[in-house]
Amino acid sequence: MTELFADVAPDGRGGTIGIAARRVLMASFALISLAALIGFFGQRSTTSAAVTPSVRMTLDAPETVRGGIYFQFEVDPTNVGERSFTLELDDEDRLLARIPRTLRVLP
Amino acid sequence: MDLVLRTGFAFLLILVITRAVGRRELSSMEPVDLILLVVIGDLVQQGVTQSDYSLTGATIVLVTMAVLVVATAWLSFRFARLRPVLEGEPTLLISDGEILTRNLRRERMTVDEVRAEARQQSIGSLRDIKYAVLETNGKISFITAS
Repeated sequence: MTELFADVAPDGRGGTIGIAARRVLMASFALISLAALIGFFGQRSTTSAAVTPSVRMTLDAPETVRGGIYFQFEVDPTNVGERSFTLELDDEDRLLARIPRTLRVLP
Repeated sequence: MDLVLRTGFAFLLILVITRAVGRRELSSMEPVDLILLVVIGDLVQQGVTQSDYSLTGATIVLVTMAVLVVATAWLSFRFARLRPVLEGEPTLLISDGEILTRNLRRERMTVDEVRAEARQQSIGSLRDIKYAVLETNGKISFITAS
């Protein structure tokens, strides 16, 4: 073997670990794509409803939104996290219907 | 969901366009090609991410592109019949010292371009070349008579 190739290990342990690590990484990439495909990262709308004898209230909105995208308001990427998005319908001080929801904001 | 689908469509479109444009044009970067490349990148980005400025959106697009690149490479490696479609095939430009003008015309290449490539590989004359092959990456391989 010539001098320039002397430091190159032939099929060492590093190569095997490297290939395994790359495969794990690619598999996780594929999982992220699949998760995005089924709407895990937003912004698919879901409908929630609150029904009482006198009132029926429905809320059609995404549960997860991504920063920078318009959804009623522009989601501020600095407000990342999960927050309450509960909708209430009151008749003065009497609660008629309530839809408990949370909104997850991704960066 | 739409981000992944748009990324997949953009990837397929890029694949088809690069195959249609031809490897020679893509390997020899003139200033106008470089600018066009940047413009194409910008147009693809607008179509794929649209108004999505989120880090999550960028991650989804990058990760999906990586998966598609590896999937294409795997398909090409695994199925020999797909290889010409995905990567193209080498084209013989000079065979046994004879210039194949039909193949040159098919690749929209002139003899002057072959000469220039030969000069860059320290070959003094076309007469010294026994075989010249336009590889799938757009480079030309030369085998000299000596």
